[in-house]
Amino acid sequence: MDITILRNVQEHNDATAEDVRRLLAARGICMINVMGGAGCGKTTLLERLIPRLAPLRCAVLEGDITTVHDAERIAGIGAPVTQLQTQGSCHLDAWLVHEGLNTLPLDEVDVLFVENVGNLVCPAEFDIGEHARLAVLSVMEGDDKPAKYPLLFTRATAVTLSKCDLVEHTDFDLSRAEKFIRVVNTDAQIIHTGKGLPGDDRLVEWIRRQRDAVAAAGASKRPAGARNS
Amino acid sequence: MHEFSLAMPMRDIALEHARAHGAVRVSKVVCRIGAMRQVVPELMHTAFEAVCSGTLAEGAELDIEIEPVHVTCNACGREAVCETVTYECPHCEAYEIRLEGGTDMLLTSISLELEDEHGHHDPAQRAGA
Repeated sequence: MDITILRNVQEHNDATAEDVRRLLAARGICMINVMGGAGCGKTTLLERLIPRLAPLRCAVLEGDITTVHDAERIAGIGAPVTQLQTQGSCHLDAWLVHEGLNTLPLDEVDVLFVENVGNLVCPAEFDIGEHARLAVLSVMEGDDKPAKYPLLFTRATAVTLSKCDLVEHTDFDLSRAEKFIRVVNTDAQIIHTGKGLPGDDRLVEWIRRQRDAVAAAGASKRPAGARNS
Repeated sequence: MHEFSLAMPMRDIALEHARAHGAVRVSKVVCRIGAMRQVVPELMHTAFEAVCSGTLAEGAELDIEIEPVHVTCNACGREAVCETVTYECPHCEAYEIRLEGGTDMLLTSISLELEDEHGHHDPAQRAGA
């Protein structure tokens, strides 16, 4: 007996992700899923950006296979943080993030960064309930990475080429990397960041805009939520 | 590495339908996976076999159909359909292309056995009928 099914294999993960997105939006919290390879500078970027985002209050869920090193670094700048250990799994899923929310003081958070496991492949496959996806590619990696790992760049809301302060010491071709990104994503904003570079300000502005959009959408929904129409 | 995380819900959807129909075995699962999805078919087969072990889907055949990615070339203006991700236009080899689609992750159909190997209906199914 053959049965036609046509169901999204990830339907349960996606439904949980949608719950997370709604729960956060209702509180005016914008979740940004930060994805990139191991060592691309995701944690360093958050350490630099979070103090500059004030008065917006930031919190972080740190995804790693094991250790609490990254969480200790974020705690060092005074932001609420929980380390999510995937215990071997190469990515975060919506359930793990949902559980992580219970550990954070959500009433005191405007922007929630989720630093995904350092990996260009698997994290891109799973919706975790984010409002925006920030892909991080450092100039210490290959400029052809967007061609080798297209899905992560296809789904990115913004891409930052990180460690650009070091680019002159590498063979990384910024325009070649951007060309590869544009093959799969014509819309993502591409921002060059690095210690002391103006791109950091542009990224801070981009994050503020993402949060403003979530807060505005939440505010516009509140009257409708009264259900008196 | 994420193949196990995809194989498990695939198995669960198949088992849900198998139970609903009172089947004694899931013999085949057909899925449609986009070329952009970075799934390694060999790993998916291994993962699927492992997660089905000890269930009604043990030994089920897994048929993976690849949903192609659509290529539009900005240089020559032609289009193409590819089953693997490319960064060159298949016609003119230019890099000025756009890739779209190829992101499906669907369980499309399953094949169920409603009788045991002796040709008898499963008692549970009869009871439920």
